[in-house]
Amino acid sequence: MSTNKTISLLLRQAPYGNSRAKAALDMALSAAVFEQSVQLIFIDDGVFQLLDKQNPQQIGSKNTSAALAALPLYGIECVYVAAESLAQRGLQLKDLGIPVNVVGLEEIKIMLHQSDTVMTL
Amino acid sequence: MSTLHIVSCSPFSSDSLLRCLSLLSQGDTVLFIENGVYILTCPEQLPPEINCYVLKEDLAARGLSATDMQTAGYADFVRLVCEHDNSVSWA
Repeated sequence: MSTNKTISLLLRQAPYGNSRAKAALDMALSAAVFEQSVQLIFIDDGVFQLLDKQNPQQIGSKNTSAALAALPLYGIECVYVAAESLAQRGLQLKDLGIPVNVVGLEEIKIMLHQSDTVMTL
Repeated sequence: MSTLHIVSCSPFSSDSLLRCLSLLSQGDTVLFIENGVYILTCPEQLPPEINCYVLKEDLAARGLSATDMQTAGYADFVRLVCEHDNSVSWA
């Protein structure tokens, strides 16, 4: 019997520069497998992880965005994206590879405040 | 002495790019690699007369397409390093 906890994961870094994006997704999927409630919040450079048409073959990396499509299979139905971070980077919903919930900083504040655990990568 | 400035950090998560731009001399070149290629989402940060390249393999990895900026491949990277007297990395 596992205790259900809400875990918020703040993803703030761009993919491929380091391995944090992949580590964060692995962490989210692992937590979901153990029936925890996982909230993924993409903010700052983390929004770049959601860009469509990533092809890292020539830099010898795995496509971290491919795992995003599998999130609903693990029970992570929605991911949250900071509107301000998208706007700052000139990004629109059509540039992203998966459906997302765009939220403001106030909503993110509330999500973090209500979470049992918050981690940031 | 000409310098190749290699910028590998995202312009949004580090002020290293601003520091680099403030130290450019005539004849210097800037090469954007790794997360530095995200400069393409805010090219207005660059001064107009700058000579710069963006690494196309890192562009493709991140799902970005080159717009007006010149692209370079890994072989061009090597060539640029050889053509300049110094290389400075900005992370």
